[in-house]
Amino acid sequence: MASILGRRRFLRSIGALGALGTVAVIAACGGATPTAVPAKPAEKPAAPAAAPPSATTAPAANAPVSSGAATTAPVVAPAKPAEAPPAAKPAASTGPVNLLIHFSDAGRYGEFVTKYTNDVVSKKFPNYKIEVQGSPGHEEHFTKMISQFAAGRSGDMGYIYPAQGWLGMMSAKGMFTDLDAQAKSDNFDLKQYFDGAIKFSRVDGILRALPWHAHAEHWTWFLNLNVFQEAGVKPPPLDAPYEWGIEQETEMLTKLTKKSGDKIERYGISPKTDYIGLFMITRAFGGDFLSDDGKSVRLGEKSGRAAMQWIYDRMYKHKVTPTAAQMEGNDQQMFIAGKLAVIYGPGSIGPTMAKSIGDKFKLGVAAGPKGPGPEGRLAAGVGPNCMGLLTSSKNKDAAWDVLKMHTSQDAGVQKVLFGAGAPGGRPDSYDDPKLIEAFPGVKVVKYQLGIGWPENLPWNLRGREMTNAVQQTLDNVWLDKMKPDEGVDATIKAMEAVLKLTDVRQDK
Amino acid sequence: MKASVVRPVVRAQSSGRLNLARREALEGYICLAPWAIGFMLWIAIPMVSSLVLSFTEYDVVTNPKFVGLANYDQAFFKDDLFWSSLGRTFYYALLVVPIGVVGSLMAALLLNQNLKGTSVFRTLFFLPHLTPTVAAALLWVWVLQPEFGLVNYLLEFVGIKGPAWFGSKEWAIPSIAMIALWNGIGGNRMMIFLAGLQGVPTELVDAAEVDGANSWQRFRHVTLPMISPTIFFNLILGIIGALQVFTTALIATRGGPAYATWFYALHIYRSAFEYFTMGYASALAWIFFVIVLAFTYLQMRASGKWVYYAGEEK
Repeated sequence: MASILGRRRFLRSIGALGALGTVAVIAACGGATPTAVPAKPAEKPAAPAAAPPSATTAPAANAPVSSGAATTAPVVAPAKPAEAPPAAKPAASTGPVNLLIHFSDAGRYGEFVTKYTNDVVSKKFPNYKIEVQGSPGHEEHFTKMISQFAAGRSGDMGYIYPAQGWLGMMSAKGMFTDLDAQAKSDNFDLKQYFDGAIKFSRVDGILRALPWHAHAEHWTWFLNLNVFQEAGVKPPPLDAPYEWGIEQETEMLTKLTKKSGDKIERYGISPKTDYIGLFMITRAFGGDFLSDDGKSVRLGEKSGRAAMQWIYDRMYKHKVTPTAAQMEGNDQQMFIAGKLAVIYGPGSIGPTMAKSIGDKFKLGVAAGPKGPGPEGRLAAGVGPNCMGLLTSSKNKDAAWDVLKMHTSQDAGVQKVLFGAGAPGGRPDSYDDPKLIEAFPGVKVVKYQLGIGWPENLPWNLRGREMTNAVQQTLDNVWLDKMKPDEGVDATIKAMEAVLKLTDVRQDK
Repeated sequence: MKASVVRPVVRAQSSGRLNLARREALEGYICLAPWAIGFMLWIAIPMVSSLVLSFTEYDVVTNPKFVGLANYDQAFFKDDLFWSSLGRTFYYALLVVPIGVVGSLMAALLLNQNLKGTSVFRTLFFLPHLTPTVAAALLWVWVLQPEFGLVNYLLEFVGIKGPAWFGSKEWAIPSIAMIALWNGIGGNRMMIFLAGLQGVPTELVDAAEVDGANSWQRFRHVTLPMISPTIFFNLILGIIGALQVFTTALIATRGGPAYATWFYALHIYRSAFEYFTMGYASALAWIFFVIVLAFTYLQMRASGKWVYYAGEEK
């Protein structure tokens, strides 16, 4: 007897439904993007990095600072009196508007953005209903934002940074709006922000985000001044002129390292072996990881090898830096606990650490040193963390209003006072008297931002692959499994493999 | 005339049976439907979709682009991390599975002694298994801290200088294995063994004792064969679970130091959610599926030689 509900017929029906479902899923893949992927750039190289300051324009600081020779620091223009910005367009809408901001909760960023939105932005735009959606960390936030965008569920604005290619990669996928056009239509003056921060926020020449905060990458030095005093060591310059030479470092750190029998109670300096820390010291030595156009590897140059040798010697020759086995928690924890005399990192950690340090010791801030020899130079990075307008926004003008407020001078000051990282990506935030009183070290970071230039990204915007390749391969050196030259050779090979990968921008 | 009188009676009887059969079948399918729908939505369709995507270049946001076997070519011949991460994953499984299975069996044997306080010990053994993996990883980062962690502190008392654990290339994988064993030995595997042990007929054990077998001989020749299906089950699941090692490596070491804990599942994750090469990640996932399937098939084939099912004839 034939039955319409036989097992075979049932299974065939399920299979047919499943096939239909699979086709529907595949068809839906990638269908959420409302705009086309940006076209490949024309003949101009795609690198967003500006050229570093040339040796001829660098301050005359070739003589070691300790000799007392007069040096001319690059002049940081004093804060101009606040000029009224050109008249902006009135608020986008007077009717009710719903806006969604995607942010990272790391470093209390999302918490601050929520507070500033509720306390300040919503008062100026009472008809805007703004929701801030957070994620626990930066990378989780990026993954979530991309996934939501792909699913057509993303909102109006998103937190993003250009370092390691994140902004470039997401812009290549059509996620962030052209802000040049937005700024032009609004007569919005982009010169309010640090030059380098705006440059780094451009992808293939187009501005894709505004700097929400900026720091000089991982080359701001934080000092335990009590330890310097105890050891009778003169610290690097805490006031202008900030230049000093790395040649002084070894003796300084050796005196700061405190031993008790076989055990080292306090180390001189933190091991900064993450990607950004490594390319910053390479810059100080006169080199870089990648060429300006991002198409070739420069790590193998004399400067790169010397920089890696320098870090290795700190650990294994002079023993002023803890190895992985000798770390007690992370470097900030060790510094706050008094087990490190110096750490260097992004300027954003200063204000946050100052709160944890409290009265334990006096915190000093200095600029990272100039590298040794004639190739050495004053180096700094420009690391903006940004907010961009997502192309999925249905209320771009209203979102632009909100974006301008979140990247304003006031927001840039409030976030530091709140405890959410570095000041805004603009000189007038750094000049605010309230900020300087709360954290005097900001003047050093401002100086660094004035001389800094953006990271050279890989030409194919494969920043994450490059970061992992460099960090993991060079780990062999820091673990003393390879000598520095051998490690550099292996890392060059890994970096070249990343440069051979396809361009994330390619048309689909 | 007789036939025409008989036929309507037969037809009435058979349509009554059909209605009952249909109804029963319909009820059966309705009961199956939640599972079938869930299976389709969450397992079958995503699996087939990922298979299709493995032949494309797909970054989640823009449309997939068909690239044929390029992803598989990349995996087998161009990606250095493919083979090394597979190797590391199998090394990890080699550490964790034998020790884990034997450890769980020993714990179950202890609990099967029916001594006083067994229920307390059962709870204590099971507690680590209840700790969320992320919390356990964060906790163990501190326990295994080279300078002031508890383990090295205790080792120092007996004159041993402890290794750098997560900070060492050689010890990173054993550190993760240690966490897995701490978490897993007293867990579900132990409970399954306990159930298996309690299913061993006591008359067989008594008969062996009467015949003069000592405790080891009773265990070796009576208990072990009787629980061989349980061992086989735990072995299969243990291997599959071990090959999927991921969370602890992501939280505690992020794949380092120097790729030491860059396991295969972490490689898939990074390819998918950090580099957004979803097509390539799908290919990696399918390659892994085939490897694990092949492994499981070989184990099933080999089981005929050592697994004894009560009542089977050989």
